[in-house]
Amino acid sequence: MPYVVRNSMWIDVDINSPINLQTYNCCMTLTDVHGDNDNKFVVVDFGSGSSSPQIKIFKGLKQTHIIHLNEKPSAIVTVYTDNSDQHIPCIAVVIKNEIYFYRNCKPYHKYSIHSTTLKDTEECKLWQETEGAFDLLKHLQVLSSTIGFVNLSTTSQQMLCLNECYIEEYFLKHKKNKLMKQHTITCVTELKRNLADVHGVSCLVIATTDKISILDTESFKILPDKYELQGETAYMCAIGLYNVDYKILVATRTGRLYIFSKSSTSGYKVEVTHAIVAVILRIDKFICCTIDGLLQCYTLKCVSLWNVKLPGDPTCMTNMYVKSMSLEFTIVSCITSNVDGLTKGLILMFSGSTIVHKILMPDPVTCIMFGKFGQEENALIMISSKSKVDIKLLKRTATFDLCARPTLTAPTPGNLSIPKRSNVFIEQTLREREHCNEMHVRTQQTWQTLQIIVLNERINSIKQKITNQFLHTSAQLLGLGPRFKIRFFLKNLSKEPLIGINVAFLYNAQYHTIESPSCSMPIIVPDKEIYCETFVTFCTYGGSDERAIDIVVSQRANILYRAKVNMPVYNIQTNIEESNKT
Amino acid sequence: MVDNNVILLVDPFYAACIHLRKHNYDKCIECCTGILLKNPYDQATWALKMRALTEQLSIDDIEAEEEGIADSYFNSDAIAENARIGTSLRSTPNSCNQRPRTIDGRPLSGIVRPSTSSAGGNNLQKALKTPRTVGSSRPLTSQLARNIRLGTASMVSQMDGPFINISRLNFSKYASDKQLSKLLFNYIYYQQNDIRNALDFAVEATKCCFFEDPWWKVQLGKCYVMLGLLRDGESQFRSALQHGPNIEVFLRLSRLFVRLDQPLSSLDICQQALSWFPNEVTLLIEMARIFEGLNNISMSVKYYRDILELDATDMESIACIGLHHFYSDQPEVALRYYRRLLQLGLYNAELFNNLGLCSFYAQQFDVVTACFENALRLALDYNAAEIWYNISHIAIGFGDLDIAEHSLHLTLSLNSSHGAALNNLAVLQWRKNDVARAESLLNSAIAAEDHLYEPHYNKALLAQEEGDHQTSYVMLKKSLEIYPNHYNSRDILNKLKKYFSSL
Repeated sequence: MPYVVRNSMWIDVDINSPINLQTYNCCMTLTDVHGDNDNKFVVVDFGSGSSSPQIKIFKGLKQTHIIHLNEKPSAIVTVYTDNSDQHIPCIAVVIKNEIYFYRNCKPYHKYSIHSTTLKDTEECKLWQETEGAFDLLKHLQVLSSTIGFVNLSTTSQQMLCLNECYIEEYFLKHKKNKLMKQHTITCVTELKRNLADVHGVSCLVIATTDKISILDTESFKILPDKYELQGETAYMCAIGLYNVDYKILVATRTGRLYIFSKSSTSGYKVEVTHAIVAVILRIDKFICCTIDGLLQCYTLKCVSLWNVKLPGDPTCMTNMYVKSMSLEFTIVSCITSNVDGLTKGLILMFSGSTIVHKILMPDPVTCIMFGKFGQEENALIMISSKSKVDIKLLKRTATFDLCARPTLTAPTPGNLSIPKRSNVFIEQTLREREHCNEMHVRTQQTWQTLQIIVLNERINSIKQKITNQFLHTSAQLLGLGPRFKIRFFLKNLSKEPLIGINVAFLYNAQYHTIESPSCSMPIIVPDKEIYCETFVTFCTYGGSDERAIDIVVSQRANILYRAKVNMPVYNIQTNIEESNKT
Repeated sequence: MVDNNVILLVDPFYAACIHLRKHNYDKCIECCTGILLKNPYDQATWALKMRALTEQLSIDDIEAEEEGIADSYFNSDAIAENARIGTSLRSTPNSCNQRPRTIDGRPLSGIVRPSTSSAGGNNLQKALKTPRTVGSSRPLTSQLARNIRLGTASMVSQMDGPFINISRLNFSKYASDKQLSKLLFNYIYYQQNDIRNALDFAVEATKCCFFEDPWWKVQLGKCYVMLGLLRDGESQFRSALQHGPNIEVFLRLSRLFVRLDQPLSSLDICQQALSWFPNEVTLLIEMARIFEGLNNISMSVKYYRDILELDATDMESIACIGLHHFYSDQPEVALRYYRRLLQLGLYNAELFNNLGLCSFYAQQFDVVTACFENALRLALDYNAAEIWYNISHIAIGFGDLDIAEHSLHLTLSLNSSHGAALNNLAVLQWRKNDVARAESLLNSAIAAEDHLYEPHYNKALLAQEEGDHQTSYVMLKKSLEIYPNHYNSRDILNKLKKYFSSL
C-alpha cells in the first residue's frame, strides 16, 4: 500500500491566513462564475449560526464576492442557461421552495414552486370544525400518527412543531385560511440537455418531498417528466442527456436508492441496510457509501458488484476524474482513531474496489471537492471538521499504483445442505404458534419438576457415596482366565492431598476369592493418579448381580466412595470337563 | 365292561406331546422322565424329551451371532490390509458423516444388534476397551461365551445327572436312524453346546444319507463356522444350496461373508437370494445392515424404507430411519418415527430418551421433560448414564448450567469413563474459572476415550491460554488427526506455527 510521502503526488497549498468555512458538501461547487475560464470556488458559508448565510466566491485564495442570503439554502448548483459564447453560468441556490438564480454574482431569476391547497381532506374538516386550539393539536397528532407527518399540510406541520405558548395565536391566525402545502425542495442536480460538454445548456433536476421534476432553465418551466418515489430525497445524481437518455440516481434518508431513466416512470430500487452518506453515479454503475462503513457498488440494474469495508466511519465522498490520465477514482473521507484514541481524518482513493492512495489528515474532513480550481486542473479542496480549508493540488507527474490487489468481496456462501422443510415441521410450527402459551407454561412446570428430580438424585448419590467430588475413580479388569486382576485407579481432584485412604474389596466367598482384599493407600497428591491392584479368582457360577464386587474407599472412619464392579461372564465349562476327565 | 371303561387318565405320552405343543417345557420334561423311569428304552419318549430340552433353550443363532475378541484377534486368515474404499467393513469411515462415533470409530447405528459391539479388528487395545452393554464391562473372550449359557443351564436344571452322556453315545448307530438323528444333533449342538461331538455326528450322518440331504450339509456348515473354519463352512452351504434355494442357507452364507470381511460378496449373495425370494424381508434387512456397515447410509435407508413398505412393523427399520433423519437435521420427522415405535408397543428407556431428544431439537419443549422422566424411570444402570448425559445437554440448551453440572456428575457416578461427560464437565468448570479441575477432567477424558477430538482441542485451548505452547501443539496435532477438517484447530495451529517460526 503506497504510503503518503509528501511532495510525491500532491502539492500542499500554503494558506497564510486560514480560511474558515462552515458548510456542507452539497453547498460547494467549483464553477467558472464570470465565464473567464478561471474556476472559482463558490461556497455557502453558514457562519456560526448567528448571522444569515452568505455565498462566498473565492478566486484562488482570495475572497472576491459575497452574496447575502435571507435564509439557509439547501443546495447550490451550477447551471448553464444559454448557449452564448461567453459561457456564463448561473448559480442556482435553493431555499425552501424557491430557486434563486444568480448570474455574474447578481440576481437573475427566481423560480418558486407553488404550494398546493388542500381541499376536502380530513385535515380541512378538522381545522374547520374544531374550536379549541389544543383540541385541534390532539386531533392533528392522532392524524399525523395515522397518515404520517409528511402528508399533513404545512400549516398543520408548523402547528405541531410550535412551542406551547404560541399555539393559540397561531390557531387564531390560520384558522380562517385555506390549508396550504408547501413543497420544499430537498435536492437539486444538473442534467445536460443536448451536449455533453462542460458548457452545454443544462436543466435542473429538482427533488421535492415526494417527486422528482425537471426544470427547463431556458424557459424556466417544469418539463413534463415526473418521477414519484417513497421517502425524502437526500442525495441525487444525474448523468446522460435530457434529449437522448438520462439516468437519475436518488438516495433517500432511509437507505433507499432509486434509479430513474427517461423511458420508464418507476425505477429500479435498492435498499441498503444503513443510512447513506453519499452516492456517485457513473455511466454503468453507481457507488454508495453507508454509515456502517461499507462502500457498495451496484450496476444500474441494481445488482450488487462489490462491497468494501472502510477502515473508519465515512463522512463524505466525491468523484475524481483526472482528465490527463483519464482515470476515474472515488474519494472517500473517513474518520479513524489512532492508537492514542484521537480521531484523525483519512482520505482514501478507490479505483474500483481497491485503494490506490491514502492521505492522512490531522482532523476529520467533512467536505471534499475535486475539480478545476483557478487554472489548476486537479485540485482537491477539503474542509475539515474544525472548518479549516485545505487545498492540495495533484502533480502532473503523479502516478497511481493501480495493480490489482486482493479485495474484500462479499463472500459467496457455499452450498449448505439445508434439509427440506417437511410437512411435519410446518404443522409443528403452526402448533407452536397457536398453543404457545400452554406450551411455555407446561415447559416451565415440567422443567421445574425435572430440576427437583435431578437434585434429588444428586443428593441421593452423594449420600450413598456413589460419587465424590474430590475423587475420580476408574477400575480395570485384566486377564482372561479364572484369575483376574482388578486395578483400581484413584485420582485426587481437590486442592489438598488425601491422607489415610483405605480401599477395601467386598466379595461373596461362594463365587470369588480375593488375595488381598484391603490395601491402604499412600498420600495422594492433588492431581495425581495412583492405583492399587488385587487378584480375583473365580470359583463357581452365579447370576450377574451376585457376581459383583464392591469397592469401598474410606478415609479413617468415614466412607468416601463406593463402587461396584460387575464381573464378566467366564467360560469355566471346559475347565470342569477337563477336571472330570482327569 | 369294555363299553363302560372310561379312560380316567390321559395317556402320559400324549400328555407330554400336548405340553410340548403348548410350550410347557418343564411339564413335558417331567412327564417324559416319568415314562422313562418305567421304561428306559422307550425311544419315542426319549426323542420327545430331547426335543423338549432343545426347544427350551433354542435361540435364533442367525441373529445372535457374535464374534468374540479371541476370534477376531487371533484370526489367522489373511485379510487384505489395504482394502479399497467401500469394500471393507473394517475400514474407518470418512468423517463427513455427522453421526457421533462409538469407541471403535464406527458411526452410531439405530439399533443395538448383537454384533454391533464387537471389536474393531486389528487393535487389541481398542478391542479390550469395547464395552459390553449387558452388565459386565469386558468384551467377550470367545464366541462360546454366549452359548455357554445354554450348556450351563442344562447342568443346573438336571438334578439327576446329565440326560445323555454324549461321550458314551454310539454315533454310527444313531446316525443312520432317520428319525432320531436330527433330533439328536440338535440336542448336542444347542443343548450341550458340544460342537466337536456334534460335528463328528453330523459327518457320520451325512455319510449315511449319501450326501443327499441338504439339512445335514447346513448343520455341517454351522459346525464349521462355529469352529472358525469359515471356508469349509462356505463350501458346505453352497453345496446345500445346490439342492434348492433356502432362505436360511442364503442368510448364513451372507453372514459368513460378513465375517470374512467381504461385504460385496455378501451383497451379491443377498441379491441372488432376492431373485429367488423377491420381497423377502429378512434378506432386505441383511442388505440394509451391510450398507450401514459400509457407511453407505443413503442406500441403507433406502432398503429400510423398502422393508417398511413390505412389513410396517419392523422395528429395526423404523429405528434406523429415525436415526438417519435425526442426524440429517430433521428431528421432527425422526420424532414421528420414534412415536410410531411407541405405538407399536416398544416401551423402554432408550426409546423415551430418543423421543426426548427429538422433541427438544424439534422445539416441542413441553414433552421433553416428560419423556426424560419416563426414560429415567425405566432405566437400568448402564443406560441411565447416557440418559443423564442427555439431560445435561437439555439443561445447557435451556440455559440452566447448574442442573447440567449435576446431571454430568450423575453420569459420571454411573459410568466413570464417559469421555463426553468428562469433557463437558471440564468445560463447565472452566467457565466457572476452576482451571485446575478442568484440566484434570480433560486428562481423564483423554485417557478414557481418545477417539474424541473435543477433549484434545479443549486441552490445547487451555494450554494456549496458560502459555504452554508445546502441549497445545501436541494436542492440536492429535485433534486434527481425528478430525482433519476442524477449522478452529487449524486456525490455532497456524498461529502456533507462525509463533514457533518466529522464535
